Amino acid sequence: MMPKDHSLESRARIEKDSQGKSHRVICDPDLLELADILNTPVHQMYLKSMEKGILPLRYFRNMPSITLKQQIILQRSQVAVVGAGGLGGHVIEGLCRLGIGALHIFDPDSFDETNLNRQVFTDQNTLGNAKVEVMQECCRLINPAVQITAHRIAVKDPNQDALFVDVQVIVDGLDTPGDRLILAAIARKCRLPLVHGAVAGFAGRVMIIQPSDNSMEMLYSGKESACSSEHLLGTPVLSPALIASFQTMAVLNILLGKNQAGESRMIYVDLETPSLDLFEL
Amino acid sequence: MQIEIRLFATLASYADHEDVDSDGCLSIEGPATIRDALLHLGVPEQDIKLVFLNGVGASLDSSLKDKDRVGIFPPIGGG
Repeated sequence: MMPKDHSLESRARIEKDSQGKSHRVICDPDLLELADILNTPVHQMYLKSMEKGILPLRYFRNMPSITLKQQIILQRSQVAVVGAGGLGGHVIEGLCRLGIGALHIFDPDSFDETNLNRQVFTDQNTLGNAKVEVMQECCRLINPAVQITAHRIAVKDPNQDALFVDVQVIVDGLDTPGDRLILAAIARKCRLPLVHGAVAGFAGRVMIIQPSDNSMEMLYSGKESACSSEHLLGTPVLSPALIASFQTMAVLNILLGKNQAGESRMIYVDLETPSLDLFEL
Repeated sequence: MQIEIRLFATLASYADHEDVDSDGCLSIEGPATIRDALLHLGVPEQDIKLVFLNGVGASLDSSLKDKDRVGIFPPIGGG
């Protein structure tokens, strides 16, 4: 009996896109089996495959909006998401499906019933469980090529910058002004772009804060009271899902070096009216 | 003069005012600042976090001219 071929090429097949163009693709089970046989970490197997021009089938429908070359950049990238609530959960799921190589997720809390209205991965079975641990497990099932590091801690100290040394972007999924100001200080210290998002009612905003900006200090003083808009209007699922999509797009643009002009503008979207406005702080 | 005034989030209800037309335009006697316009509508100053004039960050003391666009935000912090 011939020994089984353990090369990526032997497992690849041809798939035609809607334009009739042929692409070499490979399925998850083959990549996972090869990673096991060749004793190679799973995320490296995916990277190796793409570097050989063989696209994991899971990314086939990303093309041509995300090319093979760009998928390789994403697989080599690392992103931190601080806050795994309404915004953070949707961002984490999105980045996981996009195939970001490594995600570092931070949240000290467990799911409770008030999260069920909007937070992805909250359900009857996960109530009471640590958010980051639930998300780590769910993301592992969604995309094994993504390494998730779950940090069940609050980011509340400007000296926690060592946690972010490996990442290229930080996403703000927080909900407390004081914590957001500390995160902005950390991002500045690490010279990293921070993708801010905030919601209230059926609306929200997103903004990329560069290390040289002091935009967060213009958005918050840290002394905001409980009558901030989100407390008065609530946060139904539509706005976190929407603003998280804008945040995820901002991460994608930063990692791929696309659409960087005008990136410091604040985007405000109201689903109810509906309207989208851009503001220069 | 007429200025387009956009009051966002919890401030939206202050635009429901007899001097604001259905297109969100406020008729106000000049000269006036953004603060004057907001005072006219009864928007509490302590509820204001961000002020924009024609899409660019401004202060409450910024002077208004005909057809200016004003955007006002309260603090927004949900996640």
